[in-house]
Amino acid sequence: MDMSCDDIRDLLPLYAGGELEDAERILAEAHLDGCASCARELDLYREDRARLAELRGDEPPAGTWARLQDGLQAELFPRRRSRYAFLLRLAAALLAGLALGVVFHKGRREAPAAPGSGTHEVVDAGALRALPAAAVRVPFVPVPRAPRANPEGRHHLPRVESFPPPDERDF
Amino acid sequence: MPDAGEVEILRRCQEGDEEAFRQIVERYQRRTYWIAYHMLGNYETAREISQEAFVRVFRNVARFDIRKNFYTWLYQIVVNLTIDRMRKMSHAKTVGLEGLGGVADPLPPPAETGEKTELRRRVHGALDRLPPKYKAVLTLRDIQGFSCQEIAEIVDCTNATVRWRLHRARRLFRALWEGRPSGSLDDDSPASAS
Repeated sequence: MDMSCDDIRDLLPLYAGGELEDAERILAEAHLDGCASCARELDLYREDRARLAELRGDEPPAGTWARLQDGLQAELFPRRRSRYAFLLRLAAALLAGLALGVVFHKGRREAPAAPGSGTHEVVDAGALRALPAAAVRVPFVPVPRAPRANPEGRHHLPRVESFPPPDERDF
Repeated sequence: MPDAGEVEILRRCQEGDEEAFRQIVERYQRRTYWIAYHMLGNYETAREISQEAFVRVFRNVARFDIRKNFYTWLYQIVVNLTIDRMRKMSHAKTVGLEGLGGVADPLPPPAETGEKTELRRRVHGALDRLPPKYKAVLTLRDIQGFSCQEIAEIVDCTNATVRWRLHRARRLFRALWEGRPSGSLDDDSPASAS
């Protein structure tokens, strides 16, 4: 079936890009073999495609990819940075509080008790026998002892005695 | 069908893995950017569109079926955002608000000869005058090299509609290039268009 130039020209835009169906392509090729005018027009469409394809090799301005990634980071993951900073601040605050607590506690333990304060606990008699009870203010630190068997063979619950920590003994 | 490696990366993206998302961005940023640029003709606007497209991907990736082609979904977002921006810019020009939506004039890439620059200006000038849907298929086919089937998935229409738009786009581009009257440049569609 012979097609007119008008019919073929309508096929040329898609023929130039290889998008014609097989039947249409065969008809177009048969006509183009013998028609210089249509063949020239086909070349023009192919040149247009080549000009457009050349745009593929462009390069963007310097820093485009970094700016794109920075923009995504700022928009999608800003809380990650502030959460990290928050944890650092929290840790610093806890350490500072702990340090202050240690200093404060140590200062209280080192201060001598006022006379007549009336604060005294039962201590090991062998260690503090010579000292008047009111002269030293010692913290109460319960130290459980192992149970001892009574003559009848039964164990008593351990007697908890107050006994100052070694570094607090003052003898 | 997507490759197994990308499926794994997308699965991690769905779990909010920042490193996996970064890999997706690196893999697709160039093509995403150039699709937007060749449709809009402006570097900065193309970067904004690319960023917005990736933001939408990250926020909606949990709903994406990772068995499907990811790039189809991504480029669909890019094309839709770009067409929306083109329509806003066109509207701005109509009401005398040029410049508020971004400059449509193409800027020459750095380090180019004058002749190539002039050629690119003419190509972009002709492209810019095409209706958005024709510009989209021409960009995706003749610049980015997608097949008609891939373009149909990206722009969400039939293969026949893509071929029809491509046919119209190339005829209009030819007419604009030659400076001939091109008839109507309205965005008309065939009766069979979806």
